[in-house]
Amino acid sequence: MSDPNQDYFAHHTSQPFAWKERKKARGTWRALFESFAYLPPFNRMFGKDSPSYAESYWYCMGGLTFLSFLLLILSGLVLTLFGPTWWQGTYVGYVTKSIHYWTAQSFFFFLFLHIIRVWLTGAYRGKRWLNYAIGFVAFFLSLGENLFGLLARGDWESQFVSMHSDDMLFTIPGLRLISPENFTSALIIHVALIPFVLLILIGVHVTLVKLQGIARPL
Amino acid sequence: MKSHTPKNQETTRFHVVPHCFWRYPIVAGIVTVAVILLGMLVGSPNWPQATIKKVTTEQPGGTLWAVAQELDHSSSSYTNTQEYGMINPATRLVVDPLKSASWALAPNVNEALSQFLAQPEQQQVRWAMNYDNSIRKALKMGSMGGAMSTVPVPSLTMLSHLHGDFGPVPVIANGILQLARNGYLQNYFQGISPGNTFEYVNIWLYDQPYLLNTAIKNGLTDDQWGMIKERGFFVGPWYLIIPAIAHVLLPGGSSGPGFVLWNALIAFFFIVLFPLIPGLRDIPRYLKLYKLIYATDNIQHSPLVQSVKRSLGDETNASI
Repeated sequence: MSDPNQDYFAHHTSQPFAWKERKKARGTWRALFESFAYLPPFNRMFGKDSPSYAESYWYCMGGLTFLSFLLLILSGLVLTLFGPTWWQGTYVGYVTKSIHYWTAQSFFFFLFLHIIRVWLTGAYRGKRWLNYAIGFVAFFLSLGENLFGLLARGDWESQFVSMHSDDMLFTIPGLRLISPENFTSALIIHVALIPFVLLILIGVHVTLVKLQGIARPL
Repeated sequence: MKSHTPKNQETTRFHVVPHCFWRYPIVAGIVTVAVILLGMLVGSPNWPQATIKKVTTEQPGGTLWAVAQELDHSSSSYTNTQEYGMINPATRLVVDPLKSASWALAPNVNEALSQFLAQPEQQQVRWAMNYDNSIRKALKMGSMGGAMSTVPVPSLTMLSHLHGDFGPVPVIANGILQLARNGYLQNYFQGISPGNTFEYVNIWLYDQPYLLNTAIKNGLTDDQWGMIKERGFFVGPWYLIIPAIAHVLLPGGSSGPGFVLWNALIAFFFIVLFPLIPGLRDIPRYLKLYKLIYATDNIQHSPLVQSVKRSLGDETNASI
């Protein structure tokens, strides 16, 4: 065995589609449902091996944060399409905005658990540090995204926070170029600018996780 | 053969097991349904915006006082002079609206404005300052201190009994009050702003005691941990706890530069120092809390697998 890592990373390699064999082994319906997992980027999701310690729900937290991010984009697109009058003035709009709000709660809830998992398992060691740093930058950027989302809502909280932050955070050089009570600009920053950067950062983060595999245990 | 076992598996105490993938779509489905249900059943913060008409109808005395402060350059809007189009709050928030509505105002207001503008700025500020100080005296207010306590609001009766060298300032303030109460002022500010922008409306409102007083009563200012709260809703952005701690507890964190600096230091610690400095980065190893995280290898430790392993002896490898 020339390369001691060879076996360890064996579970990252792709697997052929093998429909007939899978159908025989798993039954038609199950094989059909699981088909997507044999196409990129879902290779070897089923029937794949993984280190036993990673078979813990703690290792789902990053994935659930990503899921929340996708749900935020989805509900955010609906909100963007119909606009502030809709989410302020109609029941369906209000519910959609509420789903967006709770998804943000879910995003940060799972993100905090993900960070705790990464810390406690020392999953930032060696070359993984770069991905750890990218993740943390995305985390801090998400907090800024949250502030602009609050400003873009257009309710009492937006009104008050726009002025309260304008007299504190947005008085410093650089940031004072931003006008928080300009809700149009806040909305654009919230729905286009920061999500675009976040999408890139999270995309790189997830890709690196995929390339580097699961962190080795302490 | 033991000597052929990969080094990493030898040291990890773990085995390679079949991965249970279906938990991901199942948990994802549960989370998706949960956020939809929470959105439908619990809702979200939705307190309506304060309007100029509402605020000035409830606290007209606050408006007269705010106009005095705008004219003597002591209002909080002087913090916002960097806003595009603001330049001088006295002009933007008082003089220009009055000029734009001269056709609708009583002749004495137009005359008062002409009289005010005919004087040099020094005199204008002196009149306004006299009025401002007289209001403070009537309210028995000392110097502006103790930032986060509510500000008393003068009543119209109290203001009508004030006497001093105020020049045309009280008449001008009443002209603004009239425009604010009949809804003209809000329309004017939004009319001179493009699109969905509330710069002038919000800056004008923030000069009134109303907005900050309401926030203080509801515990919503930054100093009251307002960063992690929402008005009229039980769950706020709790995840802003780190910036909130920087603002409330750390020295100098309540100023803009201090707040940014502390947050940058905290970020630097977590991104660079904690994971890279020997000793610091080893804390999780010493704490051994990873034991709470890692899944127990039930299959490998089951009596059946153990007995099979024993019977096979050294011929088996770690990932049976």
